[in-house]
Amino acid sequence: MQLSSSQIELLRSRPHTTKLYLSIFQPKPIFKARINDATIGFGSRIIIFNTVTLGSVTDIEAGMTLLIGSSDGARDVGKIRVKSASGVQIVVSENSNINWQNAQYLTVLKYWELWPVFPRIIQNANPEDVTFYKDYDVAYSNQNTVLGTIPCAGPHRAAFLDAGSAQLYYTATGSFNPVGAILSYDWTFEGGTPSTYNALTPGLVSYNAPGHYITRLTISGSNGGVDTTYRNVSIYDRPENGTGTVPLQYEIGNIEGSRGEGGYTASIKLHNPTGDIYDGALVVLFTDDVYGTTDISLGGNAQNSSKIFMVGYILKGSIRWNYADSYVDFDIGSITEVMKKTISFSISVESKVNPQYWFELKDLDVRRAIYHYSRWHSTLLSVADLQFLGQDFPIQYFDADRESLFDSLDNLMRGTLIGEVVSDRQGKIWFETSAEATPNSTGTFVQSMILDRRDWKGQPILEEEIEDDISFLELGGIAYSGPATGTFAPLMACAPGNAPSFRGILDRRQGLALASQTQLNQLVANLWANKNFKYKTVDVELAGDYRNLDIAPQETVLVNILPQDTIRRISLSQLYVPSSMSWNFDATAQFLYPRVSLASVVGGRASESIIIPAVPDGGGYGGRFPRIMLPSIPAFPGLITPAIQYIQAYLDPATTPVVSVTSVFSLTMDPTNTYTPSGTFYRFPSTVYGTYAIGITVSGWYRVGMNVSIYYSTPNNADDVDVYLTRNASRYVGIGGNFDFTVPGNFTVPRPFGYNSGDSFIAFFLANDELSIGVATSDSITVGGHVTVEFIRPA
Amino acid sequence: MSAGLSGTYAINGTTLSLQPTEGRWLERSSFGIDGNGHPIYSGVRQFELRFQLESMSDLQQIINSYNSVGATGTIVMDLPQWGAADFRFYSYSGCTLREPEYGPYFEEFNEDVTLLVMNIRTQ
Repeated sequence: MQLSSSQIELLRSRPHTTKLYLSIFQPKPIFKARINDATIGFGSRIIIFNTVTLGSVTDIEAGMTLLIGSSDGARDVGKIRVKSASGVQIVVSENSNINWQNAQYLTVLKYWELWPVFPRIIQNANPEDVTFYKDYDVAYSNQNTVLGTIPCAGPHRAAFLDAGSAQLYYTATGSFNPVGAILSYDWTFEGGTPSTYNALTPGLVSYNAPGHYITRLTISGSNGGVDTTYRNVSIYDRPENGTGTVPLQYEIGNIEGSRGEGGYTASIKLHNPTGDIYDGALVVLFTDDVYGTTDISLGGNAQNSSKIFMVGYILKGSIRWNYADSYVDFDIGSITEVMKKTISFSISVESKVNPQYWFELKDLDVRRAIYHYSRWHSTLLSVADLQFLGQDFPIQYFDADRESLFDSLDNLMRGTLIGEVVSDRQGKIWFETSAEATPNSTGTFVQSMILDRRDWKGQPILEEEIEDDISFLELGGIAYSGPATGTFAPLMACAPGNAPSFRGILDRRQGLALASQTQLNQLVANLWANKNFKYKTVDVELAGDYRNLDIAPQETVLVNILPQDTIRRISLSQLYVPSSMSWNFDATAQFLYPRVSLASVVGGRASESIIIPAVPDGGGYGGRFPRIMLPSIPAFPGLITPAIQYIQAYLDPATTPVVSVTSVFSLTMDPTNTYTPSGTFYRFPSTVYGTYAIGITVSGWYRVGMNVSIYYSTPNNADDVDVYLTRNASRYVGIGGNFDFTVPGNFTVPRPFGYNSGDSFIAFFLANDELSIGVATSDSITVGGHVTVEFIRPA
Repeated sequence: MSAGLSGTYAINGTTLSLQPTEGRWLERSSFGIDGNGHPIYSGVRQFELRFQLESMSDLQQIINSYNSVGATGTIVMDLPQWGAADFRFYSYSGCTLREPEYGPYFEEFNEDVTLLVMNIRTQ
């Protein structure tokens, strides 16, 4: 967060005092009942209930959490996402892990949390036709065309009542609709004043009673998209002012975050716990701060929410109870840590101008892929702010494996944009290209502050690179114009240039989404320069509560190191971005301070393109290796793409019966797939036995296959049956030469069914290699030829 | 904070029945030296009250004060004002107490009772 100059001065005025308070959101039960279905079991989705002891079914909303337990309010059997509720039934998401039993206790919490959303694909009678459902029973219609909004509502919050009131700031700034639809906003503030608002920025909302509340924001786009997000708000009495206060007896440690991990984690030990401690519970750490003599909180990315230090969730499986000493300890993590433990299904979509099917998405780019995946394959948009920064590009496909929600999105960013998915301390998820790979990186990012000797403790620790880490960096990808024009340009570039540097390893990355060769050349140069910068990282332990610094979004600090600041008398004035931060909190001294690791941001000299040849070059070795000669592919008039050409030609010999047939015709190369027979056919005298061959002369083809079939017809008798006999064969005929085909084997012409003595019939054959025809009847037959030649191009 | 003219040690406005034998401001926690050579101190201070001998009733006043604060509350302490030009008392609010420590019994008195007042903002 960029502070003003006066705020920077406050930041540097000491001492700093921070009181750090712990809030654990306690969701409100709004409905209780018991299962009333003796047939219920594993996999049930429709939960029939009776014995309602709290609330009404009309209080239940889609997305709420349903607890299933063996006693009132318990969750020992499991929990699941509610899809809908009406009458005497609750419909839940698809499941196979819950042992549903009659008479179990149901508790619906007014709480929205992160869930994967599973698609369902039903194969129809036609095996190539499927019906796709977005959320088990939400049939695909136009969800991939009507794109909604990534809503932003700020962080989850906690605060004290002061003079009977807590003022919390709300804005939907940062919300993003990928198609630029006009947006309307609908806010609801449970427990707050005003209770509703219908514009972008409500500003300050007042709360005057302790409790746990839900704020809801629904954004509707003019294109029809509707998206809703929820924020949890906990209001407390100050410890000295009432009983509705925060848990006070706790310890916190190991507060760490890094861009590499994608967010923060911390460990908490809570003594004499009251309230519900459960996996996935929302934890908010908030503060009272003093800088010098001024009571003020500084820092944090959310507007007017500087008191929120960290937002996290109790990580599954980390809760450990010590009943002897009456404490519980657990780990908390950013929303990205929860995403890592949430597995979804494989998803693939292709960019289309006008999507027709569920596997197509309108004008796909990285942001739209993020929206699509977050909106329809998880409930992520319901629980967190997301924001994409930097340059976006059209992509043709988005493929997510069967992996965690985090990995799907992080792999998308890493693979296409050399970026990352990172949660800041307050729980907002940022999608950014890494600073080291950002064009004009030194001029792109907001500069948070200048960091110098006034700000750190002891000495900064510099990692000095004597030799290059990377000797040669090769990047490649596709500049895709989008589905409207559908053009592609494969691009490659290398740094430092065609010649590598003399130390370091080789690094290659492919598959990037790109704009142009110029953009790629600068990208590879920047990345190489940052990987090899002499002072690539600087570690500093800061002398106070510098909460204006965070691992996301990337904001630069100008680090000024003077010769007297280090033993080695290094002088450095360089831009860096925080890559990781760890926080220490001394509760006795009420002192909160970070150690930050900074990564360099430097620009490189625009590097060199790698020209991608259209055809691999076979030369270049001066005769040391055998030269592989590939045959030229003969031009085929009018032929564009098919590798196989069928040419049909009828043999059209003389009507005079012959004993053997060779080279009866020359096959003319014909660009069309069919060849109209000219009419007459071979006639074999009925008394002639033996082998007949048909020779075909074809030249200049790499390989020719020929199909052979015989067709019989007795045109003189209407009740006779046409019989087909087929023999198929193909062979290579050599390269660049002529050849003769002779049809192999004996081919016996049987008496056709229904043949009457004295009838004549006509037999046609297609020549493929040798075809021997034995004539077994006493009647004359007419034998015709029908040649199909298959031309197969070399691979 | 607010200026107090009591001239005596007090907890939440009630003068201690037995004034401490000694009282002192403890050295603040230091978290190192910044790049400019300045020590980095915490923003709050601690004050220690020591009682060489204390009767059970006097000690009970201190223990009751600690119990009333409990493990989570804060108190107002009247203490010698830190950094004042003369010896005067000041009422510091928002303070916390560490549980009183005491040594062996000397006949029916407690020896070496120590009460640590923490989280004192002097600025």
